[in-house]
Amino acid sequence: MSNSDRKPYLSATVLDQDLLDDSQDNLVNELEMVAEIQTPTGFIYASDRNKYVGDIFYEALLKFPSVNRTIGDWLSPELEFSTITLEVSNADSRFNSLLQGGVDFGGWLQKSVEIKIGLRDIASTYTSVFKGKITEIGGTQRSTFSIKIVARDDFEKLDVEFPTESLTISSFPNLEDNLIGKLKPIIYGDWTTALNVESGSSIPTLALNGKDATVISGSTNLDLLISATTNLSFDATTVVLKRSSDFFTIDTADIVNIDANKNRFEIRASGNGGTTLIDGSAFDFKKGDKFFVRVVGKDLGSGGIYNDNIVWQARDILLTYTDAVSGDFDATWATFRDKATPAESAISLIKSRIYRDDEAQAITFALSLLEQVRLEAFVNRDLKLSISSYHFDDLVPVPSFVVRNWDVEKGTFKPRLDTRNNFNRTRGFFNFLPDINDNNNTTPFLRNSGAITLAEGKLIGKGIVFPNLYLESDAKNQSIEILRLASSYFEIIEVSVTPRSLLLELGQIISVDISIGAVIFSGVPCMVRSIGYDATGRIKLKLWSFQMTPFSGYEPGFAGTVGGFDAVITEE
Amino acid sequence: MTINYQTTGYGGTAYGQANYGVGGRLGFMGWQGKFNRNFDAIGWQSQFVSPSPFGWQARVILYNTNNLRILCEFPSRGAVTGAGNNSWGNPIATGQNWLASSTEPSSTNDFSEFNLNTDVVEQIWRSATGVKTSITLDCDTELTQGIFNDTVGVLNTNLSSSATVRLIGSTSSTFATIGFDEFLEVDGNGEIIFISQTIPLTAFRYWRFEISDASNVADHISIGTIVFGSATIFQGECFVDKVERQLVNFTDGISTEAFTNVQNDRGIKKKLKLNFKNLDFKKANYANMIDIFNTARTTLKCFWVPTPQFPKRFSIFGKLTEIPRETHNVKGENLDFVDFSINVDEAR
Repeated sequence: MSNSDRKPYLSATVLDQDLLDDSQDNLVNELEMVAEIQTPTGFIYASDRNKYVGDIFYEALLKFPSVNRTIGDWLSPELEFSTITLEVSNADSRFNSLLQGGVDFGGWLQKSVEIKIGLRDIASTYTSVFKGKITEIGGTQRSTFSIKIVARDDFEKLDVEFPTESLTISSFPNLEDNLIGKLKPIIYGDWTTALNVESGSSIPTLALNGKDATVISGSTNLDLLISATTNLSFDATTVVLKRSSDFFTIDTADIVNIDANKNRFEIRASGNGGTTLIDGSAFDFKKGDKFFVRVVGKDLGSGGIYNDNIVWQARDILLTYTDAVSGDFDATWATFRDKATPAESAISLIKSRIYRDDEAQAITFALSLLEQVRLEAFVNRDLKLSISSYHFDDLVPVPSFVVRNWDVEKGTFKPRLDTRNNFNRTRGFFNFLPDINDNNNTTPFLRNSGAITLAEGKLIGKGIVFPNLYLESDAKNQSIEILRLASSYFEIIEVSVTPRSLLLELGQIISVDISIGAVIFSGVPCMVRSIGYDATGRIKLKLWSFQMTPFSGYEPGFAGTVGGFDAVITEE
Repeated sequence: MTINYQTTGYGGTAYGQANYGVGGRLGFMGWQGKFNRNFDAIGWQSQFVSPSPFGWQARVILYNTNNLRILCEFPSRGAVTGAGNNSWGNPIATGQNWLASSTEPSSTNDFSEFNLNTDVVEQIWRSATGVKTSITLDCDTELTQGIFNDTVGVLNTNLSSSATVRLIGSTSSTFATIGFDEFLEVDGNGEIIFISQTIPLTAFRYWRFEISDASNVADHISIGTIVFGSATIFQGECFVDKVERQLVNFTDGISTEAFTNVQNDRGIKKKLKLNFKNLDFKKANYANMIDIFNTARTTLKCFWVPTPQFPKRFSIFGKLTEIPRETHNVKGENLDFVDFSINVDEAR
């Protein structure tokens, strides 16, 4: 509650929820935005007013656009990057020297842009809401009175393709034509189990000297590459040759010169003493021959305890193939990595593995890994990569932050059903195997009979793919939990609220307790899915409403409740 | 003191047809004052001091401290053109004509004393942390002949009502000799305005503000903008009595579903409206205003002091929101009286 100081923002030195609450009690606040724009020669310090922050003067040179952060859409593994356009006044030509034709023009690409919100001139209260770089997309444009600067947030650095290493003719002169330019695969996890029954081994290899006549004549060993990544183990007893439609196991004695990284080996040629027989004849390489192996992929350290962990695999991909550094990840990564209960959400016990030999966006792929265990990554308020879960057991039944009528901007509260992800029957496809280039297994059909009955018997089906999970129990658990949520008729709410909500975080559960015309929400837990900031103080939220989605501690018992944590899911 | 001096013949032939700009000074013969164009041999209305070679010396002064005065040119910001360095070792005519005895360091040099020369009053000079007494701010006007200083505005200060501010004028860069010495009235409300009660008779190149404010609650002293110089002063006629003054609170509001409105307070600024009625077309006041419209237009800030006897009530450092529409009551070639209103906005 506010005290007799009705302008606490004029003396506060900390921007926290107490201050925002007190300011809201008096219906007034004084949040201010500033921008720091790097130029070819230094920085432009700008704001929508003349002001100091710390020892820096920010001149009134621009109007701020809205800055958005989002978790993205459910079951759509895309990290949405914030893009902002700042239009800086150049009416007095002061920046002409930095523009084309100016003496200091040096190009603007990759120059940094940061936007912060805070109190008065107290630098410590300012928190970044956008930090990015001027990119080739948009870049800078000039008009007769302004410079327009388009920047994307820093996490664009995650938007790179991987794997990155490829086979070249210069490195391997005897490469078969179809392998020139082929990407070297990356491998994580245990590829010695749950494999294709027919072949017995599922990891393809790449012949590095298949065009060498002496290999074909049987006088030179066949040189095979497994992966670009270092493998923890390689099973020399299960190297399988596929010739036409038949499979043959190569004699263990013929597996020689295994690389220390366990990602490359040779098959001894018959001329060099090879003993493997194919249909009674000594083995010599023929065009079209394919070899498959079993390996345990990249060692993620810590004694190997995280090698199968899907969260740690996602993190390692981002660390290895993008410019991300460990400081870009917040503590939630370790928290979810180690989550051990309940069974359906026990990430530490869920087995995952990766084989990737074609290009993918690193961030998209990492998000797809997380999505398979009902986790989502987003850029948090501290501009770090964070993880949010929609595990029922992580939801908060009585959130401390409550949105009431006086938080909601008039006419902006708009709930709607998420029709795209509203389904009552599903089947999980899991265990992608590279040798068959498909998901090898499926779960049984799973249905929420209550939801089907509510839909007058209409089956609304959707398949869910878990390419990196290879145990049926894992894939089935995740399918059931997703179906419990998707069949619960949960709503998405778009609403604009007052600055009291400034410090909300993506993935945070808040309570909505409003009565606006025909819409009544009585203490409904909602998850923050996106947040937008603008200089007027408006906070634009996108929320998931769990009004019809009970979870432990929140069981309102509304008529028509068919989904949620205890919904009965049956196998067909 | 206002003396409306009218004569025939004096200077009429010699000077009456001359066309001097606003703010121009006649250095010869020891005159100082303002001659305005559009005067003729009769009905002069001007400011000057005229020593006579015939042994009489009359102070013919149309200086006053009652009527609207407008400071549009700021010799406190140094020379307009020139070569070489000023007395502080900085290049002349670059606005680097202040020297502070104490300045807070800044990674971007954003507390520089040169900020005193900007029209952005929020951009401040700041003393070093902990330094609140015996501070000097020295201005080299970069004009050898010096400047006559009748109006001073010290804007956006954090000075308390206990502060002492002494203004010294000197021809010496070390202030070895003091030709002007005045303690300025400080009321702790953010502005100091000094109006010379008599017309300055001596020009000084160097001006010093000596500041002490030991009991200031802040750990430093700050000032946004200082302007001083010789103002354009209305003579006889002035604006009509009804002055419209408005404080404008800039806010962004959010109307809520609880029939309340949450405001984001962005600041408060002043607006002022002055109405002029029946200004004599052929007199200096009208001509002066036209000069201001032509030079300051709606783009340059001027320091407007409508009531110099109680200057802080209506003073404003702002721009015209528009060049006003004039209504002329044309009764004849020399009988033209003009009505118009001006709006000055601090937030432009």
